Amino acid sequence: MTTRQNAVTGLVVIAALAAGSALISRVPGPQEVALAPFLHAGTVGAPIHLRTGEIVVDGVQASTQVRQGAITASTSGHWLVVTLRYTAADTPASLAGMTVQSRDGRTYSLARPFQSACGVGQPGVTIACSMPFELAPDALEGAHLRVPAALLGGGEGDDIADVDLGIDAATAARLAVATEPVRIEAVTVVGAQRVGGTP
Amino acid sequence: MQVRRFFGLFGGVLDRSTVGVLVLAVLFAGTGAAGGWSGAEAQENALVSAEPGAAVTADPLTVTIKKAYVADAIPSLAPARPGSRFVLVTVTVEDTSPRPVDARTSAASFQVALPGLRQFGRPVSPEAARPDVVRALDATPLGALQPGVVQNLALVWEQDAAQEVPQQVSIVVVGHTWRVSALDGSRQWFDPTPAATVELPLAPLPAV
Repeated sequence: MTTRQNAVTGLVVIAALAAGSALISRVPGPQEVALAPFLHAGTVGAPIHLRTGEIVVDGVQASTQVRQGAITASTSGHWLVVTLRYTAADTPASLAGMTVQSRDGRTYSLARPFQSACGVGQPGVTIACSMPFELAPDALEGAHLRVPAALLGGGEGDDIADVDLGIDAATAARLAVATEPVRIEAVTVVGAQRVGGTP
Repeated sequence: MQVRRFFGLFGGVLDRSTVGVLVLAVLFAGTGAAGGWSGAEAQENALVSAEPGAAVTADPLTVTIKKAYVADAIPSLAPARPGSRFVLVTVTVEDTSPRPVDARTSAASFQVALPGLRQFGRPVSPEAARPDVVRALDATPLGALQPGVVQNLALVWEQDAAQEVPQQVSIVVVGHTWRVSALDGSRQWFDPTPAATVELPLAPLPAV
């Protein structure tokens, strides 16, 4: 093989490696595919079935102050309080790891002192609870609630309810000026029903 | 001569270009095994010195260190404890990342260079001492820093009262990186990296 042939072979190999690398970087890897969640889209008032139970978001409120028992928490942003019902399917389960996602993809978590406001649901028993999220002022409009079927893994490779909270520009403007403190109600049992988990 | 003799053993299968490729491969492998270019990056990550009241960036946080006070007890935050005093630093913090910063990481984002620091009744080093982080708005413990929500916070460290009260304190702001854990695959804030230091006078806490 001549020197020129060697050089051409080397260039072809390098070009093939570069092309392969560029292609691979644009294709999701096996781990990424395995960890992709199963999103169940929904809206306020519509039941959403998850592997571990069923949720229904009843509505949202907002304020600069929330109260639960003797605790009053303020914010320089907004408290967005999401009220929902939850019915566990076949085993006791808790709604943990819930987040609110803003339209631009920022994630907001429940945090102390209110993070365990929904407790554990028993199979077939519908409970209602209110979950306060502390949001930046510009995160209200277009916000979605995301509820993983289980805390472990945060919904990776698992069911996640993705609920459009129905906050358009007008609703966001109305919520943004609300200052009346919102009371976080304790978990209440509101009914019983048979809910089958998704296989 | 010995090198040439060594390669002479493989003269039938190794030409000069192949040897060149092998040398390059060994060079890259050796560089990677020795930590890659992290040493050069570390040189670039020198601690930034900032003035009190100036915003400093320690990803994922933007922090303004405002004032520092010392007291034997802080009403509603730190009751008097025999043999201890408290150092309170007021800060304004914003999480500029797209995800929350949990309470543990928030507390680990601040260090104070003081001798005789204590935590849970035991002596701790300045690097290991975690302040109590309290929201100034409602005096509740910080649960998490949420993206884009500006928080005024009080950071409280406990110090052995036998130590002298310094005229100044140095606060180090520590950045973190959001990445996947190599151990369990979870995503968390890791890799604490001191990013900025702020020197400010330590004044007695004004009586309320």
